[in-house]
Amino acid sequence: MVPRTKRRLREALTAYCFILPNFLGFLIFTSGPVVASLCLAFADWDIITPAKFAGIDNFRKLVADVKFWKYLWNTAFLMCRIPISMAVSLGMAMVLNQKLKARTVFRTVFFLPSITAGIAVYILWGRLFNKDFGLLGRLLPSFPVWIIAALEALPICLFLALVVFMLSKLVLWAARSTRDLPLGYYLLPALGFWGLMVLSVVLTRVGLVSPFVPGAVSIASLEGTAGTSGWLNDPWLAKPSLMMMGLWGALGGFNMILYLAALQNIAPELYEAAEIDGASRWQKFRNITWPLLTPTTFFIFVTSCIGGFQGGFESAYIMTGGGPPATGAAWTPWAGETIAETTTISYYIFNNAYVYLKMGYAASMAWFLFLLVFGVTMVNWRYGGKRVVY
Amino acid sequence: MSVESERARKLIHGFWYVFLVLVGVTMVIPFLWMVSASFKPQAVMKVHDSTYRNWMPGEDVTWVELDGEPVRVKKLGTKESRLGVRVVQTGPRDGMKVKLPPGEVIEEDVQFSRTPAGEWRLSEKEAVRVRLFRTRSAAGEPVTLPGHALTEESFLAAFLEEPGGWTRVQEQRRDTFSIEWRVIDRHPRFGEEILLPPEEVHEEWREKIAFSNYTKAWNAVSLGRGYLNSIVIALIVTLGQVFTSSLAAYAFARLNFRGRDMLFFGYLATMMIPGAVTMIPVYVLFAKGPATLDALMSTNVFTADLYLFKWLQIGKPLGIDSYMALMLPGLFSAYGTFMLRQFFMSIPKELEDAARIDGCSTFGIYWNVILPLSKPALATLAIFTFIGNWKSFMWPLIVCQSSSLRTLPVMLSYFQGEYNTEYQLLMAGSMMALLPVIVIFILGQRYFVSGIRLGALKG
Repeated sequence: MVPRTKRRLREALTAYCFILPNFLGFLIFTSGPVVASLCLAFADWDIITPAKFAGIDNFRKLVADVKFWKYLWNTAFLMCRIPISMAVSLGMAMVLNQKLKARTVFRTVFFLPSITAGIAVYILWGRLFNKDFGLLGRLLPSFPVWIIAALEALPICLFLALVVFMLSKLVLWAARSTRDLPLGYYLLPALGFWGLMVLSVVLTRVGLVSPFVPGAVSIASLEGTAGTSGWLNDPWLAKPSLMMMGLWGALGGFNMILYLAALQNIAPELYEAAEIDGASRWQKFRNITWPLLTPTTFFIFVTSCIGGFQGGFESAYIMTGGGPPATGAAWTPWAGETIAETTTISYYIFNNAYVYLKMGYAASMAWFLFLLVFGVTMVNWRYGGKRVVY
Repeated sequence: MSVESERARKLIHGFWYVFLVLVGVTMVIPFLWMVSASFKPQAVMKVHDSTYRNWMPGEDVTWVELDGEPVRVKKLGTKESRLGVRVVQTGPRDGMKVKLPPGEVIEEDVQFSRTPAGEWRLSEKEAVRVRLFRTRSAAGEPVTLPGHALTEESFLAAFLEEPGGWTRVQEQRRDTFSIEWRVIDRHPRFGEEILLPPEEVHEEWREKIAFSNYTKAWNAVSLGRGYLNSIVIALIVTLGQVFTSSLAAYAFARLNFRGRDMLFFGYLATMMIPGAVTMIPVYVLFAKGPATLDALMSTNVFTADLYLFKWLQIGKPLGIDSYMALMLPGLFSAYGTFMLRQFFMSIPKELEDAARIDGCSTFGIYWNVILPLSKPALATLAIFTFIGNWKSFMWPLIVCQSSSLRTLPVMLSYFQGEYNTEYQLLMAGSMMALLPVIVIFILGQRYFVSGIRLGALKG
């Protein structure tokens, strides 16, 4: 019999051999580069001439770069589709969770857009939006301004509603209330959201510049011209168009499958018991389905946020080339500057690194992005991730 | 259950079916549009009033009858209540070479002279037969000919009859079976402009499926090479990633060693790091690596071009424009390791113990017990890796500067730049890039669903 310590040593050695190929790749292509890019973030380098130490200059430049803030805003705007697509995915999953025939067929068809998403599909959508012959661009060549007002106000209204929701939750927590407010819990933020949207539309109607739209032009002045240059060439419609394409892709994609799987894991006895107690549909959803779906919701939200912050490169590169320029409103950091509408942070990083050859600046931006992703993930984790390991 | 509630249930189900079908149609419509556009013969897709014509491959045809034969024309505009058209029929053009059996070409000795009235008159020569405008003109008979067609000299003319006119050809080369002719004059000439009464210009819609779009797109930017590159890279990366990930996953799941949990946590943590953070240094590594290695070893092996069979350019051995740069970063994956570890953990340990008692080595257990049992998980990872690699764009775009190494998505993006207005070709090219993904997805459908659950929720 081999002694115990020797056996353990043997096992450890075998394990190291097993891990070695993967670990080498991990070292060279992941952990090494992370450290290297942190060093690069503090340097000034164009790849050709030797690098110069720059201290925190890159970060200082980043904070002062109005383009960067605009592109961050663009990224955030495009991320507004996350809650919408999550809600729609959940709805679709609940519909598919019924005992329907041909469920697999529907699931396959719904999944098709998200599995094919890639350059080919971006080229396809670029043509669909074309104003001369594209299916959508031709169908709706010009838009009523109130739709544009609503679309453009979406992110800020959504954000304000989220703040209201957090505050109401905080108040409830502070009051140590254990009473469940079935619908009223969501009423305030929901009303607030729709109220703000309507307000934005009304302001547009009377010809004022809506405070929820970061553009310098009054939307009312667009009457009759909005969208006539093609959806992707229109500064007001470029981002909503990309969001629409994203929704099409995400509707029946990974999120729906995850929700469907989670729904199928819920024991039917729970619903039966609730029915005996006379629970309504809303009460069943609120007290059984929603709590049991929390881990899934959390997982989807975190991964979507991580993806969202890094997203938008391919659509910007293939479809819009950065997007049509628009001038910022007075209260934005990019006031008076005319900056591209659909350039996201990842496209800006790409351009800085491989087009302008500002390696250090690009690295500092990538690290900023990383910190952002990290921060959002941590907040999510603390707030909703207690029951999930992922 | 009562009859009424049964009926209500059926009604609700019916409603949901209608809803699901509508959503399904929304999902599929862009693809259908793509297929329809990829078969359209015309570059400019005219918008019709009829939905049918907008969706079906076909073209608008304007034609006029010239000498009893329809000839394709393009409308130009009206002049003195007559409509100007330009002949656009593509047929043999001036200078083009045609090969025909000897019987189809009529050789005539023709002599023309001009009458005082300005008409062209055939010469008095005996046995002259001329076929012009599909009529046999006897010698001496006056014929009206377009002024540019002929000269006053006599010549040996060879004519080729074809719909809508004739073509004068000149002998180039002759063998037993055929004579090669060169088109030297054609009537009506390509591009010729004619004035006609408007009612003689006909317009109609003709259905036509242009399969040739696919071959055109294929040849336009060597999509074939793109396909080859994509397939080779995706296959190697898939095999490599499944192998290295499963090895590491087995160690993380089953073997005890120092620092295991810490290392695994490190793997997990890196899954959150944006690709942009690591991409810049990895690019620098590939951009600077080969030249540095050359300098260190004082050779030029690492920066020289590589050829397979002396003609197939396969890039450089390392660095930018090399298959290595395209494949190496993909061979290792934290996500794959994580996913397979989760699966391996769910395999009963007793099976391994039995194998160990039978004298199986650790690698033997991994190879003979674990791998066969985890076929579904391996298949899932393989499909995800393959499709992810097939679609990956940013990295290949960065590291491929030479055209022979471009993968399909990169090829498509260049294709879009060059053929921006030829939508039907773009759609055909995109279709060809999508097909493998759709086929793989439909074949491996169930692995997708299980894979999405496995990767996300079991923790």
